This record gives sequence, structure tokens and C-alpha cells, in this order.
Amino acid sequence: MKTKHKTLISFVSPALGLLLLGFWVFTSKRPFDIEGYIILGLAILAIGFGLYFKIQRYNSERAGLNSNDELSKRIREKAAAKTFSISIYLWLFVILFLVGPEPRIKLIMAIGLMVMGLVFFLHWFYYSKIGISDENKN
Amino acid sequence: MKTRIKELRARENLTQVELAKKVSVRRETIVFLENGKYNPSLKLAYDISKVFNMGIEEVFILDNS
Repeated sequence: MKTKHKTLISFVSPALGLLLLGFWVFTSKRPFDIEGYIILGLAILAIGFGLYFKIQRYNSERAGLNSNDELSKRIREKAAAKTFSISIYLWLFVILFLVGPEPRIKLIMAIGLMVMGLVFFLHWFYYSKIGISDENKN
Repeated sequence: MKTRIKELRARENLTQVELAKKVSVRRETIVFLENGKYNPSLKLAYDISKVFNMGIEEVFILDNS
């Protein structure tokens, strides 16, 4: 029952995202420019995927199944690892080609990139020392 | 990795959902296992084998080819 409540509460974030998106659409100047449509499309996609995963989780729990089993954990971890490595290249691309000549913004982004790398290596170091004992815990 | 889960499940008259409930995973995990698209942890392999009262090596067959 507790897990079901947790799942229902997890619907709050996509609902809030949808609400904010609606607010942004109704308070923005229309017609949108091309950037506006890109942001709108990306936001709808992100919220749609979020809702899809929450509904899947809810259905699993309604059927009395464990929605957070070892495969879903591994998929999530793999997705997070891929996202991390791709995001480094993405930010590098943004620094090189999309940010103008403002040195301060470039510096902030470069520091952000280095911190991301440092956080990654710190986690690597941490897990290589203590191991991953709880990988298969349900 | 090949598995005999589908065959054993049919023999025991178990649905994917029932097996998933017994070993505390999602139904999709059973689907991936049956299709040979996921190598389970030792614990899950052990739990599934226990459901069928068999040894792990009888349910999961390592395919070296």
C-alpha cells in the first residue's frame, strides 16, 4: 500500500510539468518563433515519456508486481551512464559552437563540465573501494 | 544464454505474471528472460530455478556459440 502511495505521489512531477507548460503556453506571446516550438516539442516529449514510465510502474504495482526490480534498476543505471557521457559532449558542443564570445559564460560551463567529470571519477573511486553489494536488492 | 523458462512455465501451468509475482520482478523481466535478452543476476536465476525445483544449470543454459 505504501508503495502504491509512493507511485501515486510520483505522478506529481509530470503533472506539475504539464501545469507549468500550460501556464507558459498561455502566457507567452503567440505565434511562437522556431525556438518556442522546439522548446514546446522537447517539453511535451519529456513529459510524455515521464508519464509513460509512471503509468507502466503504476500498472505493475496494481497487478501486485515489483515495479523496481533488478532489470529496471539496471536499465535506469545504464540510461543514466549513457546520458552522462553524452551530456559531456553536448555541453562541449554548446561551448564551442552555440555560446558567443562571452568569456564568463564559457568559463562557467567549462567549470561545470570539469565538476561533472570530477563527480564521475569520485563515484568511480568510491564504488571501486566499497564495491556494489546491494545491486540485486529488490 | 538460453533458458527453459517458457517450457517449464507451460509445464507448471504458470503465467508470466504468476512467475513474476513468485520471484518478485516485473512481467517484462520474465519476457526478456524468455527471449534470451537479459542475463539475470545469480539471485534471480536461483529464485527462478527454485520455483521449478531444479538446479540453475538445468534452467539456464550457457550458449558459447
